[in-house]
Amino acid sequence: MKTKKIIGEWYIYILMIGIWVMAGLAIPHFRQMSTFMTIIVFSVPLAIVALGQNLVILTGRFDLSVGAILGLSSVIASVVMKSNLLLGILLPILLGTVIGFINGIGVSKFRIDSFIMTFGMMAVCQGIGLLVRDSPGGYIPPGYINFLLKETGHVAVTPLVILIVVLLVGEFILKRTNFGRGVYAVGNNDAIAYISGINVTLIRTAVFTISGLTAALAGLFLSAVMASGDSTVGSLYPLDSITTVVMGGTLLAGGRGDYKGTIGAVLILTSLARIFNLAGINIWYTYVVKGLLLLIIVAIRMFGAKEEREVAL
Amino acid sequence: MTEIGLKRRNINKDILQVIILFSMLIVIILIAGILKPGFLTAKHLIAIAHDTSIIGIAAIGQTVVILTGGIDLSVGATMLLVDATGAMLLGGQNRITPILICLGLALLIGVINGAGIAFLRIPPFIMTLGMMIILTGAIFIFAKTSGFASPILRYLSVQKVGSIPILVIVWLFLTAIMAVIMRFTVFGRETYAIGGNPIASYHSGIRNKIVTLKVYIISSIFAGIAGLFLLGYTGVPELTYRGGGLGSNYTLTSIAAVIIGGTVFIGARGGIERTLFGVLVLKVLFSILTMMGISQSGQLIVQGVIVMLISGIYIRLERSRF
Repeated sequence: MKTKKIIGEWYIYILMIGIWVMAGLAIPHFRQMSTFMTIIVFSVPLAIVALGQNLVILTGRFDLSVGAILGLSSVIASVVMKSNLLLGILLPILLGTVIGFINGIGVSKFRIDSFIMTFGMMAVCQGIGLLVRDSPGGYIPPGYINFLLKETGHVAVTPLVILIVVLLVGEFILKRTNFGRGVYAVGNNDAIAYISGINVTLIRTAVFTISGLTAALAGLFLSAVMASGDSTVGSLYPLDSITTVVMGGTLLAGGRGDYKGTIGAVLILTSLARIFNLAGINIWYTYVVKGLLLLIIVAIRMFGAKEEREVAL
Repeated sequence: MTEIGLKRRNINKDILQVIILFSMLIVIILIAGILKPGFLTAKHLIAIAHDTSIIGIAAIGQTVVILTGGIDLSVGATMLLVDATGAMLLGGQNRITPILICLGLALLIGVINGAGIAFLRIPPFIMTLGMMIILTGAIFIFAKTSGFASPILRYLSVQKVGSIPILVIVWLFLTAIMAVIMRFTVFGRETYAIGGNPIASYHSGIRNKIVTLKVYIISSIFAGIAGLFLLGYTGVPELTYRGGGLGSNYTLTSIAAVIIGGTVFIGARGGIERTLFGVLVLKVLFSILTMMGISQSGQLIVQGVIVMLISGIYIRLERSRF
């Protein structure tokens, strides 16, 4: 019984190791340290975005604006960092938080459907992003890039550290804080959460604010990876983040799931992209595979759910 | 409050909302007319209507989907897929098979969307988001950015009868037909019933799954028709991918139009005819933005702000009912 529970909780990592072993056997290049490091580096932004998305989905809502906030954060960094590095870091963070807060107020106070609200916000952020910079470019200081991506003996330390810190922070927030318990309670049943004295409006606003913040942070990291700002860099992130969260075992209806599963799914998704790349497959096939992956995973998840509401529909 | 009182107040509110929509449209047009002389000429207004009809046709399908409480994020991608496939297969000649293949493709997309949502119980926006990304990949794998529309398609999309473009007539005709279907047929009633309360409709013997399937097929077919006319209108395939998923600007406009019309929030009192206003309001705004020289980013921002603001206003209006 206990082994079954452990496997149930860690199945995503077993799957990950399975994929790595198979890829390692099939593609010699995959066995190199540099491949592993690339996977880590590209996992960091997705893992950061997925943390916010995970919180939002745990409350039973969705955030489609993460990709656009990410792109906006990256273009603003690429413009402002030229004159002032600190401001170039703080401004995107502030902006992302404010945008997330507006999303949260719209969803919690005005009761706007979360995907309509965040779809609208996505358009606004894309528009502003295009207004700031309509093609990739700009200046990112080499010192900043160096700090984030420097390799010591073929190991990119900072991304690895960031990934581990993000994992610990996410698990800590969800499992060890009152806020985390509130998130689960709201996701399970917001009426009961409200009756038991949880400030549902506050929790809903907070998860969207955090999601905006994490998207902005991911944008700052990605602008270092690309060494430029690009307002469209985040276009696949809404899809990817939802995929990883659901793949990691979080229920779409909210209330159940954790963050370590999401991280496992992030590593799998990034590994798949890398494997495709190494195998020389046309990049557009990754789109098809990613879309199919999301649909298959959600379909499998929904297969188990048996609520009357869902049966009726 | 008595039952009759409730109804009367609802009717008043309905009329109020239609008046708001109308006056919004007129005010915007008047402001534009003051800002830019030449805006208020019949010729220019007809040109705007002509430009609106393609997205207007796509928005009809989106309205039907939204009436059931769902959403179709793959509308834009379907349009562009049909657009590219049509151009590739037609190659500038009048042939019927490519047109049928295009519509068949749209039908297939609708069947897959509907089946995923109805039978596999995938939430609508996840199903159609996944479909949008799959189509984005598929289009760039298979489609070539070459080919032309057939002369007949081009004729239908560009030519005018008197001073009214044929495309506008097609759009209004399709809107009228769909509005009648939604109001006066069993299918229409069932669609409204599901949007109102899926559990109640299930227990009153409506086959929710079949209706849901049909609704997504309708949406894709309308997107397919819009895609064909888009090809006719521009003559060559439009294949630009600028972030946000393929054709997401069309999807966004279609959803924003339905939201401005108010169908999302008033359930059974919404309808196809309201979306007509929504699309027109948006396109007039776009035309003003283009005059001001901020077309692309301005359109995105305006649509986003409108989607959020109008949602908030409608929800407030509806909640004050009780």
